[in-house]
Amino acid sequence: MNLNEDKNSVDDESRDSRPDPRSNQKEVHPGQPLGVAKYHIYTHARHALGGHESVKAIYQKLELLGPLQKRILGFLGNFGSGKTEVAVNFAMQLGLAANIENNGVEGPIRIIDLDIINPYFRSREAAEPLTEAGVEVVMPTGDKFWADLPIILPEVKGLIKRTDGKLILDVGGDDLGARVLSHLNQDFPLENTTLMMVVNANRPFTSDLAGARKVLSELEDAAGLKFGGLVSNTHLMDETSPDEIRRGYEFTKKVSAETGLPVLMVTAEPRLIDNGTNSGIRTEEFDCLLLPLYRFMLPPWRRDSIRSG
Amino acid sequence: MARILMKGNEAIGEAAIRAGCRFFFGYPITPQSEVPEYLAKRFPEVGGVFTQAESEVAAVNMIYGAACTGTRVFTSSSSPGISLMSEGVSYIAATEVAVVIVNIVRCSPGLGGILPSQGDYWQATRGMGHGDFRILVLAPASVQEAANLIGLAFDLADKYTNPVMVIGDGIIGQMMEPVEFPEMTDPKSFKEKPWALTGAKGREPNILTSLFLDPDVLEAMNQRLLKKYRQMEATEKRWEEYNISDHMDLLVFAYGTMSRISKTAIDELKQEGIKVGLFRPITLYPYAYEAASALIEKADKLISVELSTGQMIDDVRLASKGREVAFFGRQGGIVPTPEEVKSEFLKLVKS
Amino acid sequence: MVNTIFSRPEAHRDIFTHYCPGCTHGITHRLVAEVLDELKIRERAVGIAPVGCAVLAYNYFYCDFAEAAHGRAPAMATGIKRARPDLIVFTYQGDGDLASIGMGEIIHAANRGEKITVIFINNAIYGMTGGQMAPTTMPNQRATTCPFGRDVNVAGYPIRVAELLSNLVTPSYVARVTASIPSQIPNAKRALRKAFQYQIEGRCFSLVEFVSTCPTNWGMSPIKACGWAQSDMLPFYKLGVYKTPDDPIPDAVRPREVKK
Repeated sequence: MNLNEDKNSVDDESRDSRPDPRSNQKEVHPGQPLGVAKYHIYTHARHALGGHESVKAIYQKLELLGPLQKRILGFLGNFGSGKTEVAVNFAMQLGLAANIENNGVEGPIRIIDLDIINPYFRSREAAEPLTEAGVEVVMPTGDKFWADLPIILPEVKGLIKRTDGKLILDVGGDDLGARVLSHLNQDFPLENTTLMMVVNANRPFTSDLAGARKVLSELEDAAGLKFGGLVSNTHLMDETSPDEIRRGYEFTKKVSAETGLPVLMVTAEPRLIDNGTNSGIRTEEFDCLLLPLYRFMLPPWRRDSIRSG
Repeated sequence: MARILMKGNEAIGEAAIRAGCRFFFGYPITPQSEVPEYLAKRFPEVGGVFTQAESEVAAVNMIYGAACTGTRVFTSSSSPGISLMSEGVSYIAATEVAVVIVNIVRCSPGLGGILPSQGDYWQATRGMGHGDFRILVLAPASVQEAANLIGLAFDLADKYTNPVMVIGDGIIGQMMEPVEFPEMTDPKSFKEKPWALTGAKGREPNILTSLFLDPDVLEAMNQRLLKKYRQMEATEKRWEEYNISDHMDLLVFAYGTMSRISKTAIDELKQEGIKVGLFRPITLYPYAYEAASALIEKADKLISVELSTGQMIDDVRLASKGREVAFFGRQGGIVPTPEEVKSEFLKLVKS
Repeated sequence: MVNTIFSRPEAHRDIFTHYCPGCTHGITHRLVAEVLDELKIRERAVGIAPVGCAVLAYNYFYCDFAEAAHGRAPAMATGIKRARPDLIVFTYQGDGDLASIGMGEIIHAANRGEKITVIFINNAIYGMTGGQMAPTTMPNQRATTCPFGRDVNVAGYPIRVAELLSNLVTPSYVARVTASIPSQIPNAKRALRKAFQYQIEGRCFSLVEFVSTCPTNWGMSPIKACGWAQSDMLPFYKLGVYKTPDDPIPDAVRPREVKK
C-alpha cells in the first residue's frame, strides 16, 4: 500500500481540528455568555439585585461623605487586601442605585479592571453580575480575558477624562499594581478623584500601624497620586465575626489618626450585619459607610460560588 | 500564634521560613510568582538570602549547590519551569542532597495557560527526570495544609536526603484562607551534616557527585536508592478518608482542589441518602495503595476525578486490583462545578 | 643539609591523572593547587568539576568538591557561595561546558558579580566526547562534526569568552593566559593568584581563561600542539588582563542613593 495515497490519515484529521489561535479574537461583551469562561462568578448577583433597601441606605449615607461623591473612585491596597471585592461590590451597589430614579446617583457607572498583576481572582471575573447590575465593565475581551499580560485598554485614558457618571478603578495589588496609575496620573482630574487604600489587618505587611503606613506611602509613591481615604476591610474569610469587623475598624481609625485620611467605608459580609436576629454589627456603630460585601471571588468548591448560579 | 489571612503561595513562603529555610533561588512564572515576591520582601527580616536566577535551569542548580553545603533550601515554579528543572532534580536525587521544590501547576502541554490543572501528576510521581529515581510528592488541599506540608517537606528532605515536591494547582496557590504557622525553627539548630561541602578542615575532603564509572559501584548506588524508596513507601504514605462507610455506593479518588469540590458534592449526595466516600492521597508518591485497596472493597463503584485527562487513575487502577475505575476530568484550566461533579457521581451510581 | 625545593602541593592528591600526554590540564591543575596552598585556602575551598575532560577533577584536588551537570557549574557555585560566603568556591570548566551549553549560566553568574573564581580551559575542541566542534574551534579547524573544517557561514566565528565577559559592566577580574608556553606559566599563576585573591577579599567575580592544548583530538604531537596553540590560537585569543574590578563604571548606571 502506498501510504502517500492515504490522504485521510488520522493525523491529517487531527491536525485539521486543531484550534485556530485567532478564533477567539472577536469581541466578547460582558453580559453575553462567555463561552468557556468557567472561572466566573454569578453567585450573589441576584441577592444583590434584590437588595434595594440596603442600596438606598448606602446612598443616603454616601451623601454625607464628600470624598465618596467624587466621580472617580479608586481602590488600592496590598496583595490580598480585598480591593477587588470592595471595588466590585461598591460598583454594583452604585449601579443598582443608579437604576432607582431620583436618588441622585447619575449613571453610567463604570468599573475598570486595572489589575496587571495577578491573573487570578480579578474583577473581570464578576463581569456578568456587574453587567446585570447595570455597571459597564471595562476589561480585556476575547481570549485576552484570561491573559497573564499587563493590558491597559486604550479607552481607559478617555474614560478618566470624561465628566459623566462614576468611574470605579480596581487597581492591582501592592506598589507593583499601583504603578499603572503613574502612567495615567497626568490625566486624572484630581479635584474629582478619591483614591482609597483598602486595609485588612489580618494580612501580612499591614498587620500593624508601621506596616500599614509603609504600604500606604509605597502605594502613593508608585501611583504618583495621594490617597483621599481608607477602607476598613479586616476579615478572616468564613471565620470572620462581628468583633473582627469592629477590631479592624478600630485599627483603621488608628491609621486614620496617624495619616489624617478619613475612614470612608467599613465592609462586612451581610451575615455579619444586624438583621434583628443575629446580633451583628449596626450601621450606627461606624462614622462611615457600612458596605455590605458579597463575596464574588470564591473558590470553585463553594456552593454559593459563581458556577452554582 | 494568631491566624492570619494568606494566599497559598505566601503561606508556602512563610512556612519555609518557619521551617528554618533561609535560601531561595527561583525564576518568575505565573501562577507561583507570589512565592518569590513574598520572600523578596520577607527574607531581609530574618536574614534570608533571596536570589532571582536567570532561568529555571540555573535555579535548580543553585539549590543543588546550596543543598551541597547541608543547608535547607527551596525553589518554586510552575509546570513549564518544572520541566526545565527536571535535569537538575535527577542530579540532586542521584547525589542525595536535600531540596524542596514547589510546583504550582498550570494547564496543558506546551505554553498552555495559566489556569489551574493537575496535569503534572505523572511527571511528579514517575521520577520526573532521566535515570531511575523517585521524589516524595506532597499534595495540599488548603492553604493551611500547604503550610503544614512545606514544614513536613523540609523534614522529609533531610530525613531521606532526597528531593521533595509540594504540588498544588493554581487555585491552591492563589486562594486566600486563614492560616496558622508553627513557631520559628532556628536554622542553627540543625545537626551538622558530615557529608556536606563545608571546607576540608581537619578531615578528608568530601566529594558530592553523581558520576560512578564502575558499573558495579553504580548498580550498588541504584540499589541503595531503591532501599531508600522502599523505606519511604513503608513509612511515609499519607492520605485522608472522608465519609467512608462499610457499604458505599461510590468511592471517589481526588486530591488537591478536586478533593474539595468532590467533598461539596459528597455532602449534598449524603443528604439525598447516597453514600459516597472520598479517598484523598496526601502523598502522591508514595501512593497509599493498601489503604485505598481496603476502601475499594467497601464500594460498589469507583471513580477518579482530576483536572487532567486521567493520570492518577493509573494509581487507582493499581490499587483496585482489576476493578473497573471510571473517570471524570476537565482540562484547559476549566474547574468543574460541584454540580457537574455531583451529576457525574449520580450518573455512575445509577448506571 | 638537604632542602626540598620542589614538591607536590598539598591541595593536589598524590595520584596519576587520566589526562593525555601533552595536555595542559595537568599543569593547570597544579597551578590551581599551588595557589590554594599559597593563599592557605585549601581547607575552605570547594571546587566544582564540569562535564568534559576535567569531569574527574575532584579525584586530583585535595579539597571539597562537587560535580555539576553539563554547563551548570556557575549556577551551582552561586548556590554554594550564597549559602556559605565564607567558603572559597571555584569552578573548572572547558569550552563546551562554559561557552556552549553553559553560556547562560556563566554570563549571569559574572553579571551578578558572584564572588566565585572560574578556571576556563579553552582548547578549541570537545575533548571528552571525542573531538567535536566547540564554540571556540578556529575557522577551518577540523573536528569530527566539521570534518571539512569549521565553516564560519554555518557555525559562525569562534567565541572569545574573555572579551565577551569583560564587556559586562559589573566589576570583575578577567584574564587570558596559557600554560602551553613555559615562559608564560608564571604569568598564568599570577593571574590565578589574583583571581582567588579577589574572591578572598569578597571583591568580585573572577575568571582566568587558559588557552590550552588537546594533542589527542587535534591529532598532533604534544610539541606540535603547543606550537599550534601559539601560531594559530594566540593571535586570535590574545593573552592579557581584560578587566579588573577597578575599571570605571559608566556614569549612566552608577547607582544613586536609594531612598529607604
